[in-house]
Amino acid sequence: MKSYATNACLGEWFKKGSLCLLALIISFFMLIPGTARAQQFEVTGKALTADTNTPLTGVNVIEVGTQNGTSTDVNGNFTLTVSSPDASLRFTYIGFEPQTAVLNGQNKLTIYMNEAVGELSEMVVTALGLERQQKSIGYAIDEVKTEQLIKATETNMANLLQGQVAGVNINAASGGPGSSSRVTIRGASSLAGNNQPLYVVDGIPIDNTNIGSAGEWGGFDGGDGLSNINSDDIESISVLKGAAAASLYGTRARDGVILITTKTGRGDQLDVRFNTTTTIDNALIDFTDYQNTYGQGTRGLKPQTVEEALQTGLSSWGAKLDGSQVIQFDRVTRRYSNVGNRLDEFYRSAVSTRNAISISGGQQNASYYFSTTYLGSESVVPNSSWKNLSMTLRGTTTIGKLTADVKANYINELANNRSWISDSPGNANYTITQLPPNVSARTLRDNYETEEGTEFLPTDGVFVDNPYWITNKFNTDDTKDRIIGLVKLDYNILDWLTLTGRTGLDWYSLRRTNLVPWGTAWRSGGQLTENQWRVMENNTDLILNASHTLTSDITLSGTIGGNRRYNKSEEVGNSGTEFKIPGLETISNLKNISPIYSFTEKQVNSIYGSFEFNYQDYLFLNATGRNDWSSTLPEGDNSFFYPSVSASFVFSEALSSNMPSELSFGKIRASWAEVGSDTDPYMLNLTYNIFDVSHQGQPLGAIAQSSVPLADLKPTSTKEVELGTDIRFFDDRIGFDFTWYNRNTTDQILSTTISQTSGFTSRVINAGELKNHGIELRLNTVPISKPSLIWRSSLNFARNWSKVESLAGDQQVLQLGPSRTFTAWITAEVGQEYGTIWGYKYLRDNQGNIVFENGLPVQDPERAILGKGTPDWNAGWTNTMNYKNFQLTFLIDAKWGGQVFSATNANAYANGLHKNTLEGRATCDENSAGGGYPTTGCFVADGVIVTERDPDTGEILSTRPNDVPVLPQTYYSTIAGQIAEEFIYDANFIKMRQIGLSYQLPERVIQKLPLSSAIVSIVGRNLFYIYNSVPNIDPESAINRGNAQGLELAGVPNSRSIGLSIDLRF
Amino acid sequence: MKRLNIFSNMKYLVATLLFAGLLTQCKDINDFGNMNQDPTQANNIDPGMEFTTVELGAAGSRFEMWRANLIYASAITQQLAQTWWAGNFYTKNEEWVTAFWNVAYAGNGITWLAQIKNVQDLINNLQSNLDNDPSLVNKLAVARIMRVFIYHRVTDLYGDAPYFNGGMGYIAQDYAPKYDKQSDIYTDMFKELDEAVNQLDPNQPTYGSADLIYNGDIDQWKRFANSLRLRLALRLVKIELQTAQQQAEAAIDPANGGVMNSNDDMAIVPHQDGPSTGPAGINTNANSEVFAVDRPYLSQTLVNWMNDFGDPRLEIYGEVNDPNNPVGLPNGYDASTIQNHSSWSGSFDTYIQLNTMLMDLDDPMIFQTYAEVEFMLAEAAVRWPGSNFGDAEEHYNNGVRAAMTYLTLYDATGAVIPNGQINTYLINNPFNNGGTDADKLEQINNQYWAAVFLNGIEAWANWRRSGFPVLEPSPVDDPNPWPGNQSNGEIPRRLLYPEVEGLLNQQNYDEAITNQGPNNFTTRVWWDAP
Repeated sequence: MKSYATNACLGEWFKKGSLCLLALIISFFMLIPGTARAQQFEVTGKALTADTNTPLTGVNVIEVGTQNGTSTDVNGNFTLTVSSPDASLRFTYIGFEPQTAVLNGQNKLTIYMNEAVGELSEMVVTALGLERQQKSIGYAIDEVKTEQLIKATETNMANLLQGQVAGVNINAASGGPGSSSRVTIRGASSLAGNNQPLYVVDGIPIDNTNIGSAGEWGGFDGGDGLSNINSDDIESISVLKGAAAASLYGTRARDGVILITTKTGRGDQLDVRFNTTTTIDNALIDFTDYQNTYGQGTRGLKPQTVEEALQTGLSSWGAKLDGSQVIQFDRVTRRYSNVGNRLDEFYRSAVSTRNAISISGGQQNASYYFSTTYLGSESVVPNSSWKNLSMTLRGTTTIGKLTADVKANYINELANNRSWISDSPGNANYTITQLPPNVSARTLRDNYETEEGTEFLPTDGVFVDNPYWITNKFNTDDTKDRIIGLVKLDYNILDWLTLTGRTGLDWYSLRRTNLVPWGTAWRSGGQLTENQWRVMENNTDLILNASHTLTSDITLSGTIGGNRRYNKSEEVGNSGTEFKIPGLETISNLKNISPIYSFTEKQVNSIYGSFEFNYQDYLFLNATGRNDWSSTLPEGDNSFFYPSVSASFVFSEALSSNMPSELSFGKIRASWAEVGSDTDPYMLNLTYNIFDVSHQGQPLGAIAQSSVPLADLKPTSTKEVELGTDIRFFDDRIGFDFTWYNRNTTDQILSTTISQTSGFTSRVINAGELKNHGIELRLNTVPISKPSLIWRSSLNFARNWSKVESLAGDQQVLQLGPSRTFTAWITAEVGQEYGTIWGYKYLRDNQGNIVFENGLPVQDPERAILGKGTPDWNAGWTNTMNYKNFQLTFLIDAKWGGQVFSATNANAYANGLHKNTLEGRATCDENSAGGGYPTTGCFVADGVIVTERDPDTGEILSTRPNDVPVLPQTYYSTIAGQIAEEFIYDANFIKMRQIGLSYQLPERVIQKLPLSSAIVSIVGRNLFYIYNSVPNIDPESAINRGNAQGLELAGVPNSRSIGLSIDLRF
Repeated sequence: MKRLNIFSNMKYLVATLLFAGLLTQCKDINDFGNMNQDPTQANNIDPGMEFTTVELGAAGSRFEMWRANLIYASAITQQLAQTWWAGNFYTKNEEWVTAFWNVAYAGNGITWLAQIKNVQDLINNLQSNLDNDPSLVNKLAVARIMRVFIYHRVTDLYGDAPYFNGGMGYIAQDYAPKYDKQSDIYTDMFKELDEAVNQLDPNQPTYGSADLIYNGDIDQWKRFANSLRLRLALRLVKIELQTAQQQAEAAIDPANGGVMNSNDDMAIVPHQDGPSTGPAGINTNANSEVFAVDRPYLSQTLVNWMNDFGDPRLEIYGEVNDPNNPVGLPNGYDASTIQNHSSWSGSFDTYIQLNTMLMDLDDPMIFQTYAEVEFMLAEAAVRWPGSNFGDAEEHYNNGVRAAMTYLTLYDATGAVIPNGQINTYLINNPFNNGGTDADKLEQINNQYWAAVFLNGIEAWANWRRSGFPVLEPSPVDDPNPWPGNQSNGEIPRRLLYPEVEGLLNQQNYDEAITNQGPNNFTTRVWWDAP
């Protein structure tokens, strides 16, 4: 009932909040000193592209020296009243070179706009969706243009940004198509928060929740909201990196904002476009660093019986592969020799297809845009796929002073068999990557089901599944129906004053089935969960925009607005175990059923303002402020305010007479900002959980929290300073953009561990401080610019340093997540970088020798920092070359300085599959004489035995070399189970991220066809590693998109994608 | 322009008026009603509902019963044996030794299992409402008795422990409570039981059917409180004999309602098969959840003792293959060293495994039996002949009889020992009237040990305070202690505090160590004087 009531409140908001807000805004503006404007001369004109004479919609037309301006309509026409017949007009448009025209008394103008040669466009989309001149902005903002987004079949739009923007770090969860992606901008700002940027589509924030993720005990990645965004609809992407850029979007923008602007109809001509792209994906890992000398078995022996074959199912501690006949788990005797790459047998070549059609057009004062895109993406894991259908309808119209923009986007997503990753149960990847060299995946494929219909296990352990049982019998399916809608009304109250009302809705329903079938070894009765989420975010804004010329040199402009954000999430479902009748996979056929229900809602009301001061178009000052009232904070103390100031000084214009002629543009910028953040709902009070089961007919209930709530929770504060410069030479042929930032987050809302004798395991506190500082560089060049050949190149680089200044009270280490091996954890430790890998090392003496006991290395009881899960720096190099009708683009990106803890390699040690486990076996073979290795051991590893310790301090005083022989498998299993240090790898790589080669059909061919243009492209993504420092696994492999980055275990391998794309325009 | 000028002149007035009007309107911007209250959770709870959960929580979950009750306590007291249980070898596993502690206080993260947190919350709520609503008095009294029951196991297992401020992280914002001395805890537990019994009022309502143990029967609650008081009294015989006697006398005082007088008075929590099954299923018996995946063997010590006396319970406790030569698994052997023991026949099949009759998910969890009470009375009669404890032999016979008959609670048809067999047993093994007091105490407490089968926690506490049964340290039949044992080969005398307490509650933890001794297996709790 609550949800209904809150929906009804939408209307009430306008009664309460908006009226109040509107009045506030208007009354505020009345206080701005007004001067009469002298407007005398009306100009009309038209803006066309220089090459094709196509009308351009939305070109900004500004009277130079003022903020008086307008933009062109759908036919490229504009009308503007200027102050004098001698005024100058400046025309700017994204992707085109700006132009200035002096009227000289003319009242009609036709402007031909040239496409920009340099990478940097003059106009950028900034907060609230406002297009602003880039030179006026006092903070770093990066623009990604549509043509940089290759026509590919990438299922998560975030992945397309990989390597494109300095300071943006992207990690995709290893769950195959439709998985979530972790995007962090300038590092993580909070110790335990979400740390992901806010995504804003056409001014409306969208939900990017990741529902379902894998952890140390396995699971699957349920995807996120961004995978629904159709890259074909995108006009441009702006990345607002810092707090200053973001403060107008509120608390969530603390971690940056990714602004996505989608296409609208343009011009008065019907424009029909069709794109089809098909790619073939192949797994991008191999067994290079695995051994293929020894086969299945134990102690140097081959299995003699089927029982032994089962016991050593994943154990490659057998004899040397000799081609003899040896029994396997399925009672069949096969040659004891290397079967080759078991990965290729299992992972398939997956086909993905994207088909997109868009129709746009318009008439006077109105335009429309319609698109529909279907993306079907197969996973390299058999029987697993992901499909997304997106339909968008958008219309704009202008009636007098009123402009309306209405958009509706419907998305249907269908995930079929999301892959389980990380721990072994339900994880096909786990088994397949640990198969002994003489066991073929085909034998598992042919034997995954017993005659009784239960799982045919390749081992005697129930928790290691037959991968084909999983791919054929499991169901981890979901379908999402999503509607993203927008209604925006602009009313030009006065020439210099516009009122905008905007409401946006992001609503989806996610329906998931998670079936572990009857007969699965580790859950023999089966298990089924059926649940459904309904998630919505609604944002309503009322914005008043004004710009006012004080004198011919000074322009003041400002924006003031109010926002109401409402989020709601509801989950309903049933879950249970043990099917009564095998094969009937429905809830009512379960013996034990529990209902699932959860509900959260949250509202934030805000008032914000932004004021700009422009002096002679070369000095720009900007100040913003925002006050939020959040429902998640204590009643009566739920308000918080945060300001920002920024400045931009275009010295190349201000001091133009003193500047060398080579300098075409130069500016410096500076900003300071603060962002406050609230928290999740229901954090303040102690409540009781009423159980879904009763006992002896009696209802049950108990305190719900295991964390002591904090009744007087305060908002978190992030403060950021940023300095930057943008310098270009030789008519923008070379451009250089540099940013330095320093960000500090305090009063974090953390859960800290407390003594369990308090009755609770943790408590919520306001404490902790996390600092980040770093640099971002971008070098834009146009190495070649000839009519027939243009080569644009852009190199970006970002380095972030983080430091955990403090945690709660005396706390030194905050655990963010463990590895399945429980030898390594991702942590935040005071004085260290955020996200360090912390775990067990070898115990060493003062000389650095590894200490042994009983022939085995000893674990140092003190855990230490072994690395960190995020890179020191990342870089990307984007290139576009146009030669006649050909265009070649390529992107190389790199990450450097981070580490990964690889549990896959630890398992390969324990199982004797890793190449390193060959050491010691040769000696054992000599001692074996065909009867297996002696139980007393045969391998003496390098190390020392302690002979004397200081009785008081325990310090090692003297040692002798280790002389105790052990079995190699005992030695390597001990390392796998106890020592994390051995499996920390530098996760450095340089990757050929994408290549695209396209050919535009020449005009003479097109004329014979019913087409206006046709482009054929060959596209490739994730092609190969130019350099990779991690053995056996993908350096980008990640269990989930959470804060515990740097852990890896048995994910779906990343895939190389190669395909063909055809673009037709009618 | 003129229009603008007029506008300009008017603006201050209009703005002022608007702002004034807004002061009333804008208050709504910070008012979210009850939006921040989770609609799926309750702000208040019915005391009965919370009490049921506390009783069920005290009956335990697979997690801590496996570790504390079975892996350690029942192996240490040589009731059960299993080749990998740490209690067989006196080795330490941090998670296992701390499981009971963490669950009792905080549920180890599973909130409903946090008996101390929830019973403290219940008592706090009842106490603060009692002035306005005197009808809550019985609910409060019964909750106080449950609190004593919960805490006595914690302090008996670990020694000094947060008691007065334990579980008060929310109520008192005490995130690192003081460790109270066990002597102070015992003093207060006696006081609590005394006050609670006197608080019980037959004219006021009870929890009724929400009370899983006694269905709201006030007289039975009095008898349980007094029986528990008797248990606590006898714990002190090594340290404060006089207090022990005083408290034991108070416990049996008819004016206080007396102690249990039949199997019907036993304190048990009934279980059922589902719907919430293991692991850590809400409805099912925690020990049985363990047995479903880890079926232990009867200890050689117990099997031999029972066999020597012709005990009819042997075939109910264990699945006896060969009644002529019943073989228990000796404590202190793993799957490989057992092959060197004289009992090894080449396979584990020879050893008696726990009887399936005692492994049902719906078997009751027993907190205290009437049999124990009779054995305690027998001991009191031996120790304090001048008091009103009655005749030791009579109590002994009642105890044996009760211990053999209560087994029908596990299986009403299979676990029946006919009266004739009990009589025969008592004739063959009569109370040792002619023996010394020490002989009598040994005989009584050996019976006590056999009667609390599957309640290793109680068996261990009673062994420590009475010294019976006389146990040979593990590995039995082998003079060499287990390599890697952490008690110098001695039988452990307590479980261990979580190491992390030394970080999270450092000062109080250090004080407890100073008071009690190092945090190891051989440090004795206060009442366990050498």
